Amino acid sequence: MGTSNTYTEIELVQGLRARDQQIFGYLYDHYSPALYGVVLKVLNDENIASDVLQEVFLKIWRGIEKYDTEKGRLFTWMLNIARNTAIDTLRSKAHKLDQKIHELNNDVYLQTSQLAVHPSVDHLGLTKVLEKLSKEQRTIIDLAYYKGCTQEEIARVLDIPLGTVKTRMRNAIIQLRTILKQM
Amino acid sequence: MDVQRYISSGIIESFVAGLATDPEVRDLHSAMEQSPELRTAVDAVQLDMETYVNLQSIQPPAGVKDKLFLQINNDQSSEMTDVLAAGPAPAYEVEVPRERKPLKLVHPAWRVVAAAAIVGLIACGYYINQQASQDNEWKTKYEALVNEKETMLAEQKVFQTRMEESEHMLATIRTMKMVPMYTVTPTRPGLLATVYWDPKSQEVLLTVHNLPEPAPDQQYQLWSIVNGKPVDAGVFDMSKATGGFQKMKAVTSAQMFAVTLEKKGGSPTPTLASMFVAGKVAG
Repeated sequence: MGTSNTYTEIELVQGLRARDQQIFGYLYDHYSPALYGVVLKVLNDENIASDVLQEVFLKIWRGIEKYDTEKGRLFTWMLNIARNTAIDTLRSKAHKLDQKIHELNNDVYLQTSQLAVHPSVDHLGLTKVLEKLSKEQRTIIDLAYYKGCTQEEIARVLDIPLGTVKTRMRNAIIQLRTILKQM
Repeated sequence: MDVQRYISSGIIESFVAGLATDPEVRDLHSAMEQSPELRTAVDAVQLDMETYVNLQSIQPPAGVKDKLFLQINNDQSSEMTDVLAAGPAPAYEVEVPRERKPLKLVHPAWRVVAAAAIVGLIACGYYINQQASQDNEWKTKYEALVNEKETMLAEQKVFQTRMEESEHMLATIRTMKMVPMYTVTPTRPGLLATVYWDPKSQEVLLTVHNLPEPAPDQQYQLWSIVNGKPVDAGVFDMSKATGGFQKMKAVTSAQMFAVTLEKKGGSPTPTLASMFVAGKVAG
């Protein structure tokens, strides 16, 4: 498989629509770590996460006709599929809210053994970002993005008024963007 | 449109973090269509959020890609994966202990057959996966899988026909008259069988809840009673009438239904001494 090739998003989309398995292989090699990162962080269970990752790529393969280039980038579309599929699975497992928080605190990324197993990943960058975000800022972003929490749930968890959730989120993301710009 | 208002409201950040509600998302999408400036702003935040997500990439386990490709290749040769995806549910249902329901429309054996076929198929698929590196083996097993799939599809068709019959029956029963028939002689207490009768279509269904097993040379016979006169509505076998519903002869009118025990094949007139259950048609 010509992994040394690179493809533009348009070439990828055209290849997928033409049912080109080489392109699909490239897509997998290129994007599976990002999508698996999302799925695993949502579910916190490697066995379930592998199954869900497979489901995500099947949805991409089978649903590429539904992707609309006008609406956004291919990566955004794929991330949404990964996040939604994983969060649906999480909900079907009937996770309680406090379990979600517990999982965030026992995040796989905080376990050094986990990081050592996957040396390809840019831990240094992540560590830098996480150091500069406050715990509350990180929690609010992760609860929303990785656990699919609603504004009400976040207000309850962080013990803040419902009306301030959006403001806190805005500040957290602005801080995140500032940090990313400095990298 | 006041783009600045959107930007400072925090809705963009809520949106990229997945926090925005459905109406908020729709509102933002339609606003983005009207304003390229807003769209640029949203795209910039989205890009940064994706960088954050990307930083948390993890290499997935090695086996996933192989399984994925095996699946899409099966996908292209057949719709088998859909059958597989639908597989585990019925298999699971079989494992759950089920209380006996009076209206059992599909014979349990069919569930077992379907579950067994699905389990067999999954096991076969797994085995193939294990052997994928050995081409010859792979091919043989693949052919076996295709055969098995065809067998399964045929079985599924039978199953589906049964389901359709059952669904039709269920829909019909809702509009039918229900006539419970109880014990008529004190020496045989606690007997019960129920007739469902549609005076319009003249259709009659019978289900047996409790009747003693007849001798091998005997059969139960159903009668409709019209103005005091019994009219033959057919004989029935216990195996079908106790497991589900037995379709009987058409009945044009009836004030009562009764069941007698007769010689095998039935009698032209009922043996009143061996009447087991009877019930009046309501209304």
